[in-house]
Amino acid sequence: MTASSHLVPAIQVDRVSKTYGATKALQDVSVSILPGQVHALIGRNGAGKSTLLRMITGLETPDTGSVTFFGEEAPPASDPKAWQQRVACVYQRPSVFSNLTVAENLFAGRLPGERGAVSWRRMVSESERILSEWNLHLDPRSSLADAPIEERQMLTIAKALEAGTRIVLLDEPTVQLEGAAIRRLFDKVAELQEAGVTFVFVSHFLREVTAICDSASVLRDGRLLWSRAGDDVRFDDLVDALLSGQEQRNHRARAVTAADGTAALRLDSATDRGGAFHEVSLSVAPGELVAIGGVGGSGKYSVGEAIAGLRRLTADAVSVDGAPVRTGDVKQAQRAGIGFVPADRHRDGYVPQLSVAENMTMGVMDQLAPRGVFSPRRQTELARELVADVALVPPDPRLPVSGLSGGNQQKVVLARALARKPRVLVLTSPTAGVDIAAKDAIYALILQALADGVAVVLISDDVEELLISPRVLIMREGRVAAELTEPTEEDIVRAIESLE
Amino acid sequence: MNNVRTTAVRVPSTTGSPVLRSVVRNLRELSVLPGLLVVVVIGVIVSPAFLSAANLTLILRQSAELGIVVIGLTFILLTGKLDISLESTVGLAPMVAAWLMVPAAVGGLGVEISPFLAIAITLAIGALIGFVNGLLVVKVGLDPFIVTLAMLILLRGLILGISSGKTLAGLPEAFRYIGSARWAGIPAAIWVTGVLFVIAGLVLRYTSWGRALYAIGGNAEAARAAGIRVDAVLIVAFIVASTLASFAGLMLSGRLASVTSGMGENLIFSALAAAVIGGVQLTGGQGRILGALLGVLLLGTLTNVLTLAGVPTFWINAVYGAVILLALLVGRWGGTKPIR
Repeated sequence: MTASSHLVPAIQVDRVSKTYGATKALQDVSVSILPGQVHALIGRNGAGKSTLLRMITGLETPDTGSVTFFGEEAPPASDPKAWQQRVACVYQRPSVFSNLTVAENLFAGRLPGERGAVSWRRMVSESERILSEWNLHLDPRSSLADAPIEERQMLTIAKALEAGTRIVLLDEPTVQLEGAAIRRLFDKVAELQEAGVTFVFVSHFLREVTAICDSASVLRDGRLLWSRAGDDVRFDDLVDALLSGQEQRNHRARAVTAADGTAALRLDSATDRGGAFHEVSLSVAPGELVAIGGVGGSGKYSVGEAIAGLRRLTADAVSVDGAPVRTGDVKQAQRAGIGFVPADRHRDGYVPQLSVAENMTMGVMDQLAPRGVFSPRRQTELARELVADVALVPPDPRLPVSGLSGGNQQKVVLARALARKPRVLVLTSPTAGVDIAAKDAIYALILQALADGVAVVLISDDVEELLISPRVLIMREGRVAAELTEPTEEDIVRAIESLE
Repeated sequence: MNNVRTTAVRVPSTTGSPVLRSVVRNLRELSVLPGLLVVVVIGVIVSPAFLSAANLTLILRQSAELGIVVIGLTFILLTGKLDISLESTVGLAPMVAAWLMVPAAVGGLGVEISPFLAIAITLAIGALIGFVNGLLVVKVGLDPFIVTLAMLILLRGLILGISSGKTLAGLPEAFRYIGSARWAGIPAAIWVTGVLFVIAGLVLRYTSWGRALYAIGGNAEAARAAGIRVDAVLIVAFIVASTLASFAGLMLSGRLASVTSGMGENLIFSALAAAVIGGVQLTGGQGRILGALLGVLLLGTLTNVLTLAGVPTFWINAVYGAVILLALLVGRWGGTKPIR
């Protein structure tokens, strides 16, 4: 590294703004990242991190402002190859050809050889050279099919470095990794940093940030809160950065305790047969809201799936109104009065090409058609009621769900859970990826269900969402690690990050 | 959805006359009609006999077995699965029944069971094959194409083993009845096939099992999370399809008055072509029985016209294949946009 290159930032984001419709995703954001830095990008969901990343990787063009790399203007959006040469991105689940070998992945699109015949010998020896040059311990001949995610990430990095890229974005790379793999990744990052590679690190885990980053920028509501380097990055400031700063809540459920000790939903030392969680006990009174939070991989979503019958427990540990529910059977769970909103609505929530009416009534077909034959008119009538209940826009039960907005698709999924008039409602990330208005509407529906005496379990990644509950459980490594009563935002963040 | 025409097809218009709305809703199925019309016009041109009642009856009669197999295949395709062994079920089920029925002197086993028992056995064999296919695909998790390909070869081998490649003739009247009788001057097979199509349409529209097929084909995970018993619905679909195929085999042996070792051969290709031309998506979740029926009629009419036109026997398959490709192109142009 020469002295002069330190003066020119590897990435210079200069007064960038970006607006999507009415949403100001980024406002006048400037960030400067020097060569060889490991720079953390921090902010809550919706703070503008993803938008900024999309600017730096060429997936979006700023409305105003500019991005430069080593003093050079960013390439045009129409030239993805040029972008890839400047910036490489490593995701939670790197996209590699998992059916091919390490060497083929390194040379994908430019296999060495002559006149269409592939020279495996050259490819393997070249790969060995590249891998040893960057001190990556991968076998060029091994298939990636069963390779751990960590190796796929390393491979993505190796490929980028070989192509001449000296800037690597790590977008929540540790979510799917175990402790030892995280340490190996961080060691590698530190080693490559020594060699002059620049990293941008996005993570929700503040301990990781303080472990490997030497500089950080914090975004909030599309603006840059601060950008600092070295000792100026203090842990408490990072915790603050994740707080919303607004104490006023629009929605907050009342604390409810079971008057005579009868719980609507009970889990008695529930243990997942697949090992996702252990000995989770929980009791929710009618009209009570209990929230569950925790980092990715803590098993919190698996608890929700198990209550809904989508996962098997080692025993029938779930009971509704005192009656045990057969584990691993969605239909039995529904009949027992459990309604469920899955976390990934695109994967588990709805059938896109079917109508709103069909999707909403999918779980009550046994009621709608006791002998297997049903009347579409009754189906439509029920759907119309549900459409009105959840205020679907547009209010037409005949439309295919694929044409609705994300928020309204989520309302359809929620309506499906409500169709059976459940005693217990299990919601996993009910407002992920929906706009503010839909979010408010969904919270209002949750509060309405509580007022009607439904017991609600709310499982979420979003700290602000957990805050609508007076009682919050925090899970860690498959167990309930903390139970918070009337917590503040900071209490929750600290508990999730397992501080003090 | 960034395509206006696709939108028109997939979103039922909320305005306009009921007739127009119905036309729009069925656009994908109706896109077979121009192709069918062209084939009919060619038929009228090549032979004055084409439009005769006898010839039209012949077309329907010869399409009946294909139609019944297509009904079953459509159920399975709607879930996003596949069963290519249906064609050998068409052959094996009546073969086993005939083998148990006819005297040892003409190639039977010698037990000479009653024709009514034989009919029951035909259908039971169909159900059993479907059950096994269903178990292997749903419970064991094997790929439906490979499972049913292996099953197709296995069943075809059983047919040859049982019959030693010979044709079993001399079937009792009762066994041949459904494939040879006439009701009100029209072959019973046509009536039965028509009724089965109506029933299939009603089942797909008005029963929770029928709607579950669409839900599973559209998003099996969501169907499971919604409380649909996905495995049971799928296994029943395989059983129903195979049972229908064995019934088609019964009708076919009645028409031929014998059971041949080649019965049903290559039928699955026509069945797949008919279903897909009719707008049933191989990826599951989309398609209607009306479209499948029109696909069957198109292929049946085409075969008839090719014969009437005196296309040399050795060339018929080439022309047949070319017309299927053409029909698929017309169908794509007419509204079956690729779905992403």
